[in-house]
Amino acid sequence: MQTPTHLPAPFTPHLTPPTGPTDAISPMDPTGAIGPTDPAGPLHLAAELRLPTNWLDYLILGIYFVVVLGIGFAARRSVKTSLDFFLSGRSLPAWVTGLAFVAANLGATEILGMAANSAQYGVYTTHWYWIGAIPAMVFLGLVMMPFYYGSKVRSVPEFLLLRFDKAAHLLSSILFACAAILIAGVNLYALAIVVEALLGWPQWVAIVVAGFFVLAYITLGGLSSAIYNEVLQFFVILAALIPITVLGLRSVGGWDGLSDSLTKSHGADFMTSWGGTGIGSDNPLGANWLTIVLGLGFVLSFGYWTTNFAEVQRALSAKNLSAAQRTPLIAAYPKIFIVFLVMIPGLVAAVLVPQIGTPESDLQYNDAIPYLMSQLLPNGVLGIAVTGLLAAFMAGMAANISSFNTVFTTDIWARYVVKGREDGYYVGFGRLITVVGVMASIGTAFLASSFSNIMSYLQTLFSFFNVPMFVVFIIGMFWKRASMKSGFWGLIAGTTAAMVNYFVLYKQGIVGIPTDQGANFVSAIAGFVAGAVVMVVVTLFTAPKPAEDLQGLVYGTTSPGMAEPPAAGDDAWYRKPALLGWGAVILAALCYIPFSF
Amino acid sequence: MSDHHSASPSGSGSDPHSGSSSGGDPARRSAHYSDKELQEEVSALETKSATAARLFDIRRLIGGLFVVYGVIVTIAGITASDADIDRAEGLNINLWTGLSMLALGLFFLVWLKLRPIAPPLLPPDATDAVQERQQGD
Repeated sequence: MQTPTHLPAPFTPHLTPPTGPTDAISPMDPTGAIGPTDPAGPLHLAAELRLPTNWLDYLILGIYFVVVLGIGFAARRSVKTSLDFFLSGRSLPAWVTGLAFVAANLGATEILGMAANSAQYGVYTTHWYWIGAIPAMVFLGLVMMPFYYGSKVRSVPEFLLLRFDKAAHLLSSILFACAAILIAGVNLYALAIVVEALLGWPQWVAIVVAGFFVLAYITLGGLSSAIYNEVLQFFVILAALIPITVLGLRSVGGWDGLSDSLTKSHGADFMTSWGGTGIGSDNPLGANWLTIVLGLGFVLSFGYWTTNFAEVQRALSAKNLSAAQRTPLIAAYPKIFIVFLVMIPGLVAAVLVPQIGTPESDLQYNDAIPYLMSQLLPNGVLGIAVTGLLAAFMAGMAANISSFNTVFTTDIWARYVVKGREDGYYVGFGRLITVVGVMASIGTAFLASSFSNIMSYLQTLFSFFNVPMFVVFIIGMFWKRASMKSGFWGLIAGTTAAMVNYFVLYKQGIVGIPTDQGANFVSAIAGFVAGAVVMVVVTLFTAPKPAEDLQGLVYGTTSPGMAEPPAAGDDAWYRKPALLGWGAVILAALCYIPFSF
Repeated sequence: MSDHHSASPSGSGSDPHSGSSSGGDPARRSAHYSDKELQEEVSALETKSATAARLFDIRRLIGGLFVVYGVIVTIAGITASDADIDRAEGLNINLWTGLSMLALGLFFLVWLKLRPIAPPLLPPDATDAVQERQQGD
């Protein structure tokens, strides 16, 4: 559940049907050679992007694959109970879960997609980080985590089971499981396209190889394997993006040179976060400050960061409540600065290839980072960059697989199908369903290559499900009276409203919203409001949950889990969740200042 | 859809771990979904969990991999041709990246050496401190 949920898929490998190779035009030619451009759109990744890799780069890549498998084998001996397999025994330190939390989101579709976003929309990209992530991550850590972690639930749907009823639980479990497989498959397909363009491997080879490695290390070591790989991927991807950013800036005369040429070619608003977002004024994003703050910053972002189990699972594996609270807060600090590492390459590409994304160029917005890799990096660092990109694709897929197997086993299988077996059975079943899940993702990846439009609709559809999830959580956590049945109906109503707004009102042109991005924000707001209204109405006509069943689930109550004493040293000032959280919010707000005037 | 057990959870402030010793094997799953039973089941699993005791320390792995990568990329930087350097805007990017990766790898190994994981029964998370200070910068 990575990109499409909070990022309206600027990285859309499935939207561009592959056309024949069109390597007749040099994309580097700034005079804009007009060539025979296919009306169906240029090649997704231009043929000229083939990287000049040599043995050195493959050595670096090979070492990584060996280490990935090694993690799986080494983590295997730590898996004794189902809790070890699905939640790392709730025993990991906060810095590990925190970096895994940010890395699970830092998939390659996010990296390439946000660079593309920057090449297209400019500094507006910062909104997806500073307002579209940080406040929600801090809210998760400070407000919601005591309920999640303290109630000892093993998944996000399990919380709905305790707070509402089986209908809400089953609905959210099944939808999450389907969405996770779909997104894992889309990740795999995106990987295949990029690898084919950059390294020349056939698509099926990339799909099968990446699928095999993810399958191997999760089946062996469970969530611990997935999390350890994510921590490793976090550092490798930094080692890949920092050289690209530094060299990119040098090639356009530093930040000043970058800023000057883009202001000249794209206008002054391109280099600001808020320029042109007044209500009624026109900007390329098609959204005003109100829809950005409410749609992206509040509804979409809170829905993604606080209820998406692929993220929350990392925090649930922390070793105590304090560590669980700090997981998203520790993640917030790198998240604030990662935007520069994806935005600057995107902006540099917009300078170096002024026609990027237009029919005059073979290069699309998504090609920004691969293009800079091919132009700037020598062998060695190039190998690191390729490794980082592949690692990010695999981690993006693995985060979905490792949350899928948990939800499928604990929430669906153990709860409704085969109940009451010994714990070892569910570990074995978890391994089996991991294999099934990876196979299904591989199938989805192949499907995505043939039925691209269906996949893109499905992705949009699932992305709307996170919005009502957030409404149901927020009302369920803060309003004791919210009845058992209101959860299910809130989910249904919110999802329906968001979809009707997007697919009927927007796509049929009944209301005029300039872009998909803007429509996404508005649909999210509509889904939120509809879900909330329906929950209130249903609550008024149905029975509340007995008060004794709400202990530790609703604001103002406590559960035994919350009373656990903090570990020694958790009271150090730099480990205070409130300080970490508010520090992140203030830092993100300060980051806006240089880009606001 | 309302077949929940209305057992009164918590309230008494009892130690959640004490539940694991009472009656049968609490790690066995049942079709329950009350808060209290879930707490007992998860607490029982937590006491049997092997992750804390047996999972290796990720710092060793990050340290090792980055030292190896650092050495490889630094060597590529030392032996870089003029063409390589021209390609990278006149900067010996392999050298700088390699040295930085080497430094990061050594940082993790030194951190591991200075603050090894404590025995599992006494889990102080002193090791969090260094990293968080670094994260907080």
